[in-house]
Amino acid sequence: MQPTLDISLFWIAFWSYLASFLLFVIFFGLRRRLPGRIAAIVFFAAIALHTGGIIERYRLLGHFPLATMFEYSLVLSWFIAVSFFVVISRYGLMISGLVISPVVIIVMMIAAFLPKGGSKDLMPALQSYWFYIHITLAALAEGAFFTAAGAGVYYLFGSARKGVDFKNGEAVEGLIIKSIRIGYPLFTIGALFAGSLWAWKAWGRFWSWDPKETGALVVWLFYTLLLHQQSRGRWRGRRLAVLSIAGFLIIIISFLGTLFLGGLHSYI
Amino acid sequence: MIFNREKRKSLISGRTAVLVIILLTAASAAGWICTELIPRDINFNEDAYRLRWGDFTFSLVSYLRLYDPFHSFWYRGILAFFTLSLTLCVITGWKGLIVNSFSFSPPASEDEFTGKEAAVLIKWTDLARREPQRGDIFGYYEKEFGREIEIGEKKIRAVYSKVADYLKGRRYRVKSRETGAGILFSALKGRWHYPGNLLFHIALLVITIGGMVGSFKGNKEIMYGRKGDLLNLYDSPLSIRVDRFRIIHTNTGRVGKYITDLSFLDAEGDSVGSEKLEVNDPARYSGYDIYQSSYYIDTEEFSWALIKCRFNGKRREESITVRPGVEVSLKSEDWTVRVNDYKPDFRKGAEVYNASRRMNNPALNIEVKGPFGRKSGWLFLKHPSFNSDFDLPAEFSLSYIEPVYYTGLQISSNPGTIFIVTGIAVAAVGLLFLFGTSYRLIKLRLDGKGLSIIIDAEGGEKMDSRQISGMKKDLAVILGGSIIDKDGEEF
Repeated sequence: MQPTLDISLFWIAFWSYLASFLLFVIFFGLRRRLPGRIAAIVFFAAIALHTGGIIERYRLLGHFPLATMFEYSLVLSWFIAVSFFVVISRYGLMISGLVISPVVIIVMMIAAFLPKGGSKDLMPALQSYWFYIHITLAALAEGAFFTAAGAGVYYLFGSARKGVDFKNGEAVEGLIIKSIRIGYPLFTIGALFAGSLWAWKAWGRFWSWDPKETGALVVWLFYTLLLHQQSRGRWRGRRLAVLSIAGFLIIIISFLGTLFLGGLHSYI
Repeated sequence: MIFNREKRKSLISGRTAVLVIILLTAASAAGWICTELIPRDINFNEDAYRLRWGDFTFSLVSYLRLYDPFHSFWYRGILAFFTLSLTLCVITGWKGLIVNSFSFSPPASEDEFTGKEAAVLIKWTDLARREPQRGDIFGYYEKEFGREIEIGEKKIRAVYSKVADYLKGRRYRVKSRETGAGILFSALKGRWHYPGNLLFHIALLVITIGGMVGSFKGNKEIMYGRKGDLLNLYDSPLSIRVDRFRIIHTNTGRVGKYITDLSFLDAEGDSVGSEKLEVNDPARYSGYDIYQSSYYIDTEEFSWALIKCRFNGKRREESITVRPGVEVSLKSEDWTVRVNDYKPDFRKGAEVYNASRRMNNPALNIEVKGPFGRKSGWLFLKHPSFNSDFDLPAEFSLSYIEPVYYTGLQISSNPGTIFIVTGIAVAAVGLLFLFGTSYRLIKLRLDGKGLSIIIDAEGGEKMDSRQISGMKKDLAVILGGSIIDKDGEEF
């Protein structure tokens, strides 16, 4: 069967991200400006294709593509990719592409293994404005957490190569903290609160201890812990970087858990 | 008092808070894994699981309630510990957070500056020698000259005015006091940060309390009913009547919506109101929340069906509507048709049976009676090529079946709802303040030798070096500019 345009754009974007990642690796290795610039251009082109894919899917389905795990991954990876814009404009860290592009690729690879079919008809439980609030905010929050994890990887690489006080070290640490501080309120309001209120409206209960809910609770508690320690001036530097990566892994487990464990959120 | 001062203090310490969160995270993760690994039906199949796992394992799983860990004593214990710690934290912390945020004062004395390294230090001598220079101009002059030139009281006030204006322009509130040696002043920004933190903590507490109230005092029941059925509300003389239930299919044949029209009846059976119910749009009546939960199809009965009969050679056809147990006569022939059996999901093994409650393969077994005697066979809605051959000069086919639907209503009462909804609203406001503002308390000293700034690192968010150097540059421009432009003389 001929793939639809949205799926074709998804694949082209995927390969473009991969190409940009390889170029970022060359940039990192050679320390030449040119490969870095080409990598950034390819990355931005990939974002444009990715955006086109999302718009095309929206056009095909008639609703924002957030109803299946594939669509969620598609939007989540887009949010992560867009964070590159923010990092470049605010911190000027071109090298961040080296860690943001593989994170995008990982999420897109997960998406690649998921069923890509979509339906114009949302099931009755999803026909609610909470659907957009809950899932969009959750994806935004996870995108921010993933960006923190990417920055964490960069911090670890940098500190391993040049010691803890490496150039940009403070800026990268600031990026980890800021990403988490952006992600946390979005996750709390979007994933937990909006999710609970929607569950109350749709199912008559705020909380069901469904695998996805429990996974979200674990993610939330983990970042609560991280921020609590932050407010006490603890867990900075390398430890913060390692924990931001651990947060990424917990989110991935929570994400995949729904696929394998089922539950109320298993809209594959 | 249950807790003495020391115990209270240890319970509200940051270390305890971290411990509680770690415990809760670990317990939630463990519970998450347990719910997936251990079947929930072990209480109903005790012997089978005891045999499979052995006595010790089974007893352990039962005792720790690992099949339903989030309602176990150990998880509830950790949750109670979390609630206690949070409560004490809120009780003991609220005053300090509010007071510190809203009523700040200038530094009491010079002592507050002694022994602390200034984040920003500008000496008048540096400013006096200010000229365009790349890099750290202040550091450069300090290293080169290291002179200290004092300025007078009048100029100190002028400088204070400039600095205060600069800070106010950056949304700082400034309070000052003059000492014999100069001016001490404090500047505060993001005063809603800590109240936001407090609100968020209070809200979490309220949500937890709401959850507990709901868990212990809430009720939930799922009832099924077809059109005309009366459903009694538990612990109440009131009831609900199902007036209508319908399923709206989309163009692609999927279920788009299912809607129940219902009436609320008082103790005498009189209707006191009506409501249309659908998924995501519940109704509320006399303290009960009523949700459109689900529906199911009766496998024993159908409502009515449309059967088409085409007479061979006569080029005509006739449609008849059949209902369960009713014999229907055909107009064209002296025949009658009645339904013997109905299967919404027809399957045939050794005998005919229903594979599910869904209308996957609806089929009717009909009996045709006439001068030829009785003939019976199956008609299929979705697979007419499998229709039985009745060995009559006519073909029968099934055009439509209207099943009997039962609407599934969840009726619940949860006194904790008000707590949870209020808690969520307050928490959202708290988060807005907490993460939308940055608390900064800076203390400044202006005297004849220069300006030193100490940034409160105790509770406030640390300013990074970029922010500090930005402030230093801004102040340098302001002070340098004012000195050169206004007075045209060096300090």
